[in-house]
Amino acid sequence: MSNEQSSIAFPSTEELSGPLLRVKDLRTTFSTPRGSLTAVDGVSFELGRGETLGIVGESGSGKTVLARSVMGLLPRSNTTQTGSILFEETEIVGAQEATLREIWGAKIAMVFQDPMTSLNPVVRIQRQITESLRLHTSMDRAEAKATAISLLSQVGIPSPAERVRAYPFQLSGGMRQRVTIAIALACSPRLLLADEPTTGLDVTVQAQILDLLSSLQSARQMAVILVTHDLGVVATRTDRIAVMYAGHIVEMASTKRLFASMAMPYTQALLRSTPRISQPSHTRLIAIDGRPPDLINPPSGCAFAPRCTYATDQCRSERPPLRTAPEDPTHLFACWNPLQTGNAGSITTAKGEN
Amino acid sequence: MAKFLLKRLLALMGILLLVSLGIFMLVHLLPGDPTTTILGPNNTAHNRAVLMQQLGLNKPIWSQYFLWLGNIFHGNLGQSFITHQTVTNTLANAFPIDLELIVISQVVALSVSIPLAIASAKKPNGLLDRVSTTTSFALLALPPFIIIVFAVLIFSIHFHVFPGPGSYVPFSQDPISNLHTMILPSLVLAIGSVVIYFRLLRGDLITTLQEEFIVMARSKGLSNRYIMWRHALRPSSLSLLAAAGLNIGGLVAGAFVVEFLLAIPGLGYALVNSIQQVDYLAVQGVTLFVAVVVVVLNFIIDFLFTIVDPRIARE
Amino acid sequence: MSAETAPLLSVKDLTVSFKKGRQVVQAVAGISFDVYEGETLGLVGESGCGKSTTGRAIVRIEEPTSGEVLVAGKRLTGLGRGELRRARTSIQMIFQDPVSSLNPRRRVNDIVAEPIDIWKTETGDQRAATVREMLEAVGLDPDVAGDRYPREFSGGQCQRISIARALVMKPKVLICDEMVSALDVSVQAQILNLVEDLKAKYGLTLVFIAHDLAVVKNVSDRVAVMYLGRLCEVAPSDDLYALPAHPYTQALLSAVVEPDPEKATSHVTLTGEPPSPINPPSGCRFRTRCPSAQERCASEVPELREIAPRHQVACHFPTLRP
Ligand SMILES: Nc1ncnc2c1ncn2[C@@H]1O[C@H](COP(=O)(O)OP(=O)(O)O)[C@@H](O)[C@H]1O
Ligand SMILES: Nc1ncnc2c1ncn2[C@@H]1O[C@H](COP(=O)(O)OP(=O)(O)O)[C@@H](O)[C@H]1O
Ligand code: SF4
Ligand code: SF4
Ligand SMILES: [Mg+2]
Ligand SMILES: [Mg+2]
Repeated sequence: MSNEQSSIAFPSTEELSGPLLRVKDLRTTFSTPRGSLTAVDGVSFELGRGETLGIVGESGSGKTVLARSVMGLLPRSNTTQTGSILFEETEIVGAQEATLREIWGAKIAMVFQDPMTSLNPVVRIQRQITESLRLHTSMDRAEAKATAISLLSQVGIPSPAERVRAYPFQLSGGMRQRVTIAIALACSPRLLLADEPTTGLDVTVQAQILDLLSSLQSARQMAVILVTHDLGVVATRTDRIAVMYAGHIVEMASTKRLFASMAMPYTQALLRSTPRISQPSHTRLIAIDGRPPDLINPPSGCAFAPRCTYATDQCRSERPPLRTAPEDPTHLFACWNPLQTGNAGSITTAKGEN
Repeated sequence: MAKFLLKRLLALMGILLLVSLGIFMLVHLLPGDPTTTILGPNNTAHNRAVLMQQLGLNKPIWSQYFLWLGNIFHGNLGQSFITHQTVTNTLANAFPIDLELIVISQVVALSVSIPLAIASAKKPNGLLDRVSTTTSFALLALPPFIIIVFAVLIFSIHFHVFPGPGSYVPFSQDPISNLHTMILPSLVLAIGSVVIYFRLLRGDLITTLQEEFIVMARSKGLSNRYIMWRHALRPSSLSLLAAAGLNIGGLVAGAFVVEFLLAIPGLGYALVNSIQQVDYLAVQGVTLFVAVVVVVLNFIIDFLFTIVDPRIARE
Repeated sequence: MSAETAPLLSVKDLTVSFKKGRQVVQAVAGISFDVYEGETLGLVGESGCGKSTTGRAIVRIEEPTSGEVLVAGKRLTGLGRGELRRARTSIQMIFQDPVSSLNPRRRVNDIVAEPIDIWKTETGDQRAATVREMLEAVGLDPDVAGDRYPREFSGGQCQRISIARALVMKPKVLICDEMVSALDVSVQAQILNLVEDLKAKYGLTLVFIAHDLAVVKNVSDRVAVMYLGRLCEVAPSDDLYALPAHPYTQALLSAVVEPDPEKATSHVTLTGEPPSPINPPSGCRFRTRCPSAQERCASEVPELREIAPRHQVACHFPTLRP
C-alpha cells in the first residue's frame, strides 16, 4: 500500500526540524448551565514530526476535548481556552477562524470515532473526499476525482472507482471508517488526530484499520495522536503514551517505559482492570471502584484520590505536580506516592501464569 | 430507485381511482336536480324525462361512473349544460391562474424562509432568531383566511396599493397589470407557507448543525457558507419537504378563497360558480382535476425526497 | 459439569431466518450446543454473525424457524403462551444498553420488582425484602437507590439494576448479550466481577455473548465461536485460546490487541469482511476468507465434531494438536 503514488509530494524529513506541535499549559473550559467545566486542565506536551502519541483514559477524562482543542475545532460560543498550542509556526489558541481553516484538512486532519455519524449521510463519498482537495490544492475536478479513487484504494477499499459514487449507508462500518481515513489523508496532513478510530469495530476490522494507519503514517512521515480508552490499542502502535484523568495528563512516558515501570497508581489500575487473553480464564480483575470526579466541582487534591488504594492525607489536600522520574527525564507523572519500579503492572505475573 | 418510484406511481394511480369514485358519488349526493336548473322549475315531467335520458342520468349509477371515467381517459370531461362550455375548456382558462398564484407564492415563500432559517440557525437565540421566531409564532396563531380578508381589506380596498376585486387582467393581455393584480393574493398565500417552512427548517438546521459530520466538514477547512449549503441544508430539508406536501391541499384551498374574494377567474371561482348553479359535470370535472394536480404534486415531492435523502429509495 | 450429567440448557439444530423483502436472511443456520449446570458458555464472533439472534431465540423473544431449546430437559420451543411465560422465569436475558432497557418513568424498586408484580409471587413486606436483597446483591444501597429513577444512575449502575431485575425470580439460566460492551474498562471490570460473584452465590448457568474475546475468556468455562450463523469451534476457554483448531478462531485471536508492548504486532491473516447472510457461501461458510480453504470446503458443509475431549471443531482441515 505504501508504494502507491499519490499526486501530492510528501515533505521530506531533512527539511523539517524541531517539534511539530508544542502544547503548553492548555486549559479548556466550557460554560454549562451547572457552572463552568474545565475539561482539559493545564496540559502540556510536545509532539515530534512523524511521532505517534497515544492518549488513554476513561470516558469523560477529556481526550476528545483535548484533541479538538489542539485543532481549535471547539465551538467558540461556550468555550474558553488559555495556554498555547504552537503548530509549526502557528499559534492555535485565539487564532482567527480564517487562519485555522487554512490548516484544517490541509495540515491537521481528524478521524472521528463513529463513521456513521461523522460522514454526511446524503453526500456521496466522492464529494466528501474531493471537497478538501479542491479547497486546499489546485486540482481540477477530474484530478480530484482520480486522487479520491487512488486514496480509496490506498485505504484498502475494493473497486474504488465504483465505491467513490456510493453513499455512506451503502458501506459497512469498517469500510466507512476507511473512508473517513481517506478523507483525513486527502491533503497529506502533517498531523492526524485519530479519536477512538476503532472503538465499536470488530477486532478483525480494528486490526486492519490500525495496521492501515501505521503503514500510511510511516509512508507519509505523518505524526499521529491516537486517542483511545483501550490500553491494548496503544501498546504496540505508539511511541509515547499520555494517560489522562479528569482533564489532566497524569502520566506520560515512552510506550516501553510506561508499560515496564509505570509510576501512577491510576495507570496501573487501568491496566489491571483490563481483561486479557493471555490471562487464564476466571482471572479476578482488579476493578477501580467508584467513578471519575465531577469536573464542575473537582476535588482539591489528587483527582484520583477517592478511588486510589495508595491515597494519603496529602493526596486529598494537595494536588500532585507533574514531575520527572529520576531514572528517565522523559517519564512524567503526577503522584505523591508513585509506584516502585517492578511494583508496576501485572504484566510479569500474567506472563508467568500463561 | 426506478422501482421505488414505480411503486409510488402505482399507489398513486390507485388513490386517483378512489378519489374519482369519491368525487363522483359526492357530486351525485349534491342537493338539487340538474333538470330543474336547466329547464326551469315549471317545465313538464315529460321534458324532464327526455333530458334525463339525454344526460344519461336514468342509467344505473355504476354505468354512469364508468361512462364518465371512460370519457375522461379520452380527454372528454363533458360539456356544461348551463354555460355550454366544455369542462376542458373551463379548466384550460382557469388553471393557469391558480398555477401562477401558487408558483409565485411558493417561490416567494422559499426565498424568504430558507435564508431566514439559515440566518436564524447560525445564531440560535440571537437577535434575528428571536425576532423571526416570535413573529412567525404570532402569524401561526392567525388562520390564513383571516390574513387574506384583512390584507384584501387593507391593501386593495382601503389603501388601493393593489387593484381591488374584479380587476383581473389575463397575463397574455397585459403582463404588467396581471402581475400587479396577482402580487397581493400570492403574497397573502405565501405568508402561511413562510411561517411553516421557516419554523421547520430552522429547527432541523439547528439539530443538523450539531451533528458530528458538520464538525468533520469544519475539520476539512471548508467555509461556513459552504458547509451550510452543501452539508447542512439537504439533510435538514426533509420536514420542510414533508410539510410542503401536506401544505399543497391548504394552498389550493387558500388560492380558492383569494380568488373568490378578489373575483379572479381561477379554478376556485369556477368551482364556486358551478356549485351554485348545480352544474354537476363542471363540479365533477374541476374537483377531479384539482385532485389529480394535488396527487401529481405529491408524487413530485416523493421524488424530491429520494433526491434529498438517497437512503429513502434504496434501503 | 461433567459430560455425563444432563445439560441444563440444550440448543438443538436452532435456525432463525428473517424475511427481508423477498430475500431470506439466515441469521442462525442450524446450531447445537449444551450448557451444563453452573457453567458459563461464552459465545463470540464478529458483529452480525447471529449471536444476539441466538440469545433472543433461546428466550423466545425471537421465534425460532426450526430447532429446539430445552431447559432441564423441558422443551421451550412449541410451548403455549402461558406455559412459555412461566418457563421464561427460569431463563432471563440481560441486554447491552443498560439505560434504554430500563423504564425511565419507574423507580428502581418497582423496576426490580416488575417480575414479582407480574407473577404476583410476593406482596408487601416480602416483596420489599426481596428487592432489598437483590439490590444489595448487585452492590447498590437499597436505601439510596430504591426510590430513584434510572436517569440518576450511570451506565454501570443501570446495568446493576438490570441484573437485579433479571435475578429477582431466581432464574436458573442467564443470557447476557454484550452486557459490558458499552461500559468503560474500569466499570466493565466491576460488572464482570459482580457476575462471577452472583454466579457462585445463586448457582447460575450463563450464556455470555460478547464480541470482545478477552472479556469472553475471562468469564467463560467454555467458549463457542460463531461465524455467519454457524458454530466453528467449541472448547474449554483455556484450550480454545491456547490451541485454536479452526482457522477462523486462529484469525480472530491473531487480531486481538493486548496491553503489552512486548507482544509482537499482530499479523492479521483475515482480510475483508464476512459475506452477506442472505446468500452465504456453499459448503463451509468461512471458505471465502479462509487461508486453508480447499476444494472440498466449497462442496461439503463441515459438521461440528470432536477432535479432542470436549473440543469440537467444524472444519475439514483443522489444526490438530501436536
Ligand atoms: N461542548 C461541551 N460542552 C460542555 N461540556 C463538554 C462539552 N464537550 C465535552 N464536555 C465535557 O467534557 C468532559 C470531557 O469530555 P470528553 O473529552 O468527550 O471525554 P473523553 O473523550 O475522554 O471521553 C466531559 O465531562 C464532557 O461532559
Ligand atoms: N429483526 C431482524 N430482521 C432482519 N434481519 C435481522 C434481524 N435481526 C438480526 N438480523 C440479521 O441477522 C444477522 C445476525 O444478527 P445478530 O444476531 O444481531 O448478530 P450479532 O449479535 O452477532 O451481531 C445480521 O445479518 C442481521 O442483519
Ligand atoms: S497522588 Fe495519591 S491519590 Fe493520587 S494517584 Fe498518587 S497515591 Fe493515588
Ligand atoms: S472447512 Fe475449509 S474453508 Fe472452512 S475453515 Fe476449514 S479449511 Fe477453512
Ligand atoms: Mg471521546
Ligand atoms: Mg449483537
